[in-house]
Parts: sequence; structure tokens; C-alpha cells
Amino acid sequence: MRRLFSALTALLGAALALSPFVLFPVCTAAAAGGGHMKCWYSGLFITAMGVLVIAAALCAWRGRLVAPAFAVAAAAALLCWLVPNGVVPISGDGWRAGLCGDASHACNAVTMPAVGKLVAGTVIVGVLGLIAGFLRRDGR
Amino acid sequence: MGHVRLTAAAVAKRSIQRRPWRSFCLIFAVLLFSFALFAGSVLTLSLSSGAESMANRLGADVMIVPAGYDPHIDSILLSGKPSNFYLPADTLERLSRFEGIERMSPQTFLATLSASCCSYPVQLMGIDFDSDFLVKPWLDATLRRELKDGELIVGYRVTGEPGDKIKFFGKELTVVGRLEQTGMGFDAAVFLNRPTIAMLAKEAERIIKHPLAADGSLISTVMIKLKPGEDSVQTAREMNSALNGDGIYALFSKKFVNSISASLKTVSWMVRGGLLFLWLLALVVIALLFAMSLAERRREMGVLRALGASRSKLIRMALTEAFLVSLYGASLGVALGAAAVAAGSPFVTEALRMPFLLPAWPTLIFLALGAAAASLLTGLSAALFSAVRAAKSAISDAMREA
Repeated sequence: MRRLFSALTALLGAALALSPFVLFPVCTAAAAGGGHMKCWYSGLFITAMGVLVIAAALCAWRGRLVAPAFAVAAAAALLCWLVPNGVVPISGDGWRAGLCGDASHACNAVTMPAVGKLVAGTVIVGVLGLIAGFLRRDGR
Repeated sequence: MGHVRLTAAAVAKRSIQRRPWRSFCLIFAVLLFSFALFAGSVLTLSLSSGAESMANRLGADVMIVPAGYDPHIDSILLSGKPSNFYLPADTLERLSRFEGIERMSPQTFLATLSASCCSYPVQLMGIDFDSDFLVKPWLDATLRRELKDGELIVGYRVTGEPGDKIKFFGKELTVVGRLEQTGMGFDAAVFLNRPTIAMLAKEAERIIKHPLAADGSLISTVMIKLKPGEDSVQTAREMNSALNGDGIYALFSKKFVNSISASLKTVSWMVRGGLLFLWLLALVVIALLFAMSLAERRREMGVLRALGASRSKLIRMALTEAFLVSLYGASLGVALGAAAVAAGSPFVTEALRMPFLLPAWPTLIFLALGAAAASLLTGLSAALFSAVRAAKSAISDAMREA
């Protein structure tokens, strides 16, 4: 059961990592000042978190730190929703992660609905993995 | 082969792991209840804090808007959805003829463009500082002076710290303060003085034609404070019968706050009903699963009793099992509830059309601990009856029946 949940988490993590630039691309036009748009930085963040989800899933697959691995995967996936929506603000010198103001833009209309479903899936599988880890007999 | 001490915790853990599907159902029942309890409590508390904040902030007795634009003022007050609308030029003069008005303050609205990618469309609100009695009291905490031309104050959810420069319609303005969270549309608005907003409208005219650019004295709304003892409903009615034909509409604030309070009551009752249903469901499921589990283990109980385990030890073992399962389910449920609140809170105002103000951290922590404790108690009390019944049966009966 643990391996099934690990494999599912890894698959969802891969889908998350590929979402913003391959599967459901964010806006591609340049911002008014010539730099990248806010959604591009969100895309980078989602890709990084997707890779983290895969790493956590591999950890759980190998039976190491199963509960923390599923918890990290669920938390990383959740951040993929919270950061673009501005609940957890992330910014640096001259850049800020977020979404475009227009609801019809690709990041709002295409990327985030898909990311939302992947995030929900990863969190649910993560919770099931946590329960499976708790119910696992010692030494197995 | 390693030896395991037969403590209540060790036996309980083994028992949980030996029946994974039953344990999964138990954990899931507690998880569902604690999730709903925490998320539901935060939702109702946030909505009632939002309504309270709105009642406190909305210090005007009557609001004047252009006829047909009252839904727009709802949107601005609730979600800060940007809107442009203007009253007839002589509105202030006509309003001053009404007796019973203590103070009135005009405001001018200008919406930024939603088409420009990545610049969040916001409502710019031009305040008349000489007459204002709504925004100035909050500004006293952040800025103890008048707003100068080219300066602005940002709402809680608008990016920008004091000293930062923000561009609107290509014009750079200086942030001089930030308002505390209100749970209303003001969180997504930007406040300036009226000359600055007229200047921005002129800048906006490079892209679109704007009525405010031609006449900087235009006003969008008038906030009215009545003299003590005056009836706001009656005054609004009198104003409407006198001015409605001229495109001016008077809205008494209490009507707005009252309709929000009524919606809040409905939502609270729905949440409470849902929680009661889930609590009963969790109680029944846990009690049933424990009764089945302990009935299956009557022989095991009999053997333990024959080996010298006391009745209280058997009860302790069963309750430890219930405690572990409930603790795990409650912790996961509260964590999931917190995740749902964080992910869903930005969209609640839009979905329910009600102000939403999350409680402070200590309250959230208290609610989380309370939800976990209530779930834990539910699990333990549901298991108690079966545990006592199983421990009370005689050794010989337990062995024979099994």
C-alpha cells in the first residue's frame, strides 16, 4: 500500500513539475517593463515544488522516513496553490510570485485550475500515505 | 526474536496494525469530524468577525450612490471589485438642503485597468480630507497627517510598503502607509486625496476617455452621518422620494449590514447542522467498529484475563487503542482543516458575498486544539461502552463463546 501511494505521489509530483511550462503553460508574453510576469515566477516555484514532491515520494518508496516524506509532499503541493494566490507571499529584488490580474489569461484560466486539481490529489494521497504509514506493521 | 512487553500501548498498537482496514475507517471517521469541526469553526468565526468589522467600519448612516449602482457599492465594500460611477454635479448642494445631516463626505472612485497583465486591478478611492469621517480615524494609527498630492495609502492586501513607489496609469506615487486588515473590500483598495485621483484620471485618458479627466470635481458617493436621534431609514426614504428621479439613490447602511447578518445566521446554522450530523456519524461509526472489533476479540480478552490481566487493564488497552486512533485522526483532520482554510480563504468573500476576517493566531491555535480535543473525546467516549462491556464478561464465557 505504501508503495502504491508513493508511486501515485511521484506521478502527481511529476505532473505538477511539468504543469507550468509543458502541460498547462503559464502566460508567455513579457511584462510591461520587459521582464517576466508574476505567473512565470509562480511557474518556477511550482516546478521546484513538483521536484520536491517526487523526491519525497522516492524517500517513502524506499521506506525511509515514510510519515515525514508524505507530510512534506502534501505541504509542498499545498504551497503550489498558496504561493501563486498570494496567501504565502514570495518576492525578491524586482520579482514577485503571483498571478495575472485578468481572469482570461492562461495562468488563471488554464494553469491554476489544473494545478489546483493536482494539488488536491497530492494532498489526499499524502494523507492516505500518512495513514498507511501509521498502520504499517513494524519491520515491514 | 525480539520480545515485546505486554503494556497497554504495545498491545493497542499491535491491534491497530493487525486490522488495517478497520483502523483506517476509525481514523477516517475521526479525521472527517475534526476537519469539519476546525474548518467550520474558523469559517463561522471569520464571517462573524468580518460582519462585525464591517459594522464598525461603516460609520456612515446613509450612503448616496448613482441610481442603479447600489449593487456596485456592495461589490466595492465587500470584495473591492473595481468600479467607476459618478453622481450628478450638484449632488452635494442638493443634499445640503436636507435637515438632520451632521456631516457628509464625498468620495471619488477610479478603477485601474484590468486588461494590463499582472497589474492587479484595484479600486482607487479619492478621499476628501476636510470632511472625511470614515477613513481618517483608521489613518490616525498609521499616518498622523493629511495625505499630500502624489501620496497614497494601501489596503492590507495591496503590495507596497511605506516609502515604496507604485505606478498607476504611468504616474509614480509614494506609499505612505498601510491599513490594517478589515475583511472588506477596503483591503484591496488604494486611498488617495481627490486632487491626486483627478490627476490620475487625466493620465488614464491617454488610454481611454474618462469623465473624471474633464471634470475633476466629480464624486462617486457621499457618506452621510446623521444628527443624533435621526432615523436613517426615514431620511434615506425622504432623500429617495426627492432625488431618485435625478439619478441619485440613498442607501441606509444598516440595511446592508442587516442583510449580511441575516446571511451569516443562515450560514452559521448550516455549519452547525453539518457539524452535528458529522459528530453523530463519527460517534456511531467509532462505537460500531469498536463493538465489532472487541466482539471478535473475546477469546483474546479471555486469554488475557486467564493470564492475570485485570478488568481495568483490559479497559485501559481498549481505550489506549481508541486514544491512538483518535489522536492520529484528529491531528490529520486539524492539519487538513488548516490547509483548507488557507487555500480557500481568499475565495470565501467572492463565493458567499460576505466579509471575511480570519481570527488572530492565538484564536486559531485555540480552535485547532479545541477541535483536536473534541475529536479525541468523541473517539474515547464512543469506545468506552464497548470496552467496559468486553472487560466485564466472565473468563469462561469469553473462552466458550469465542
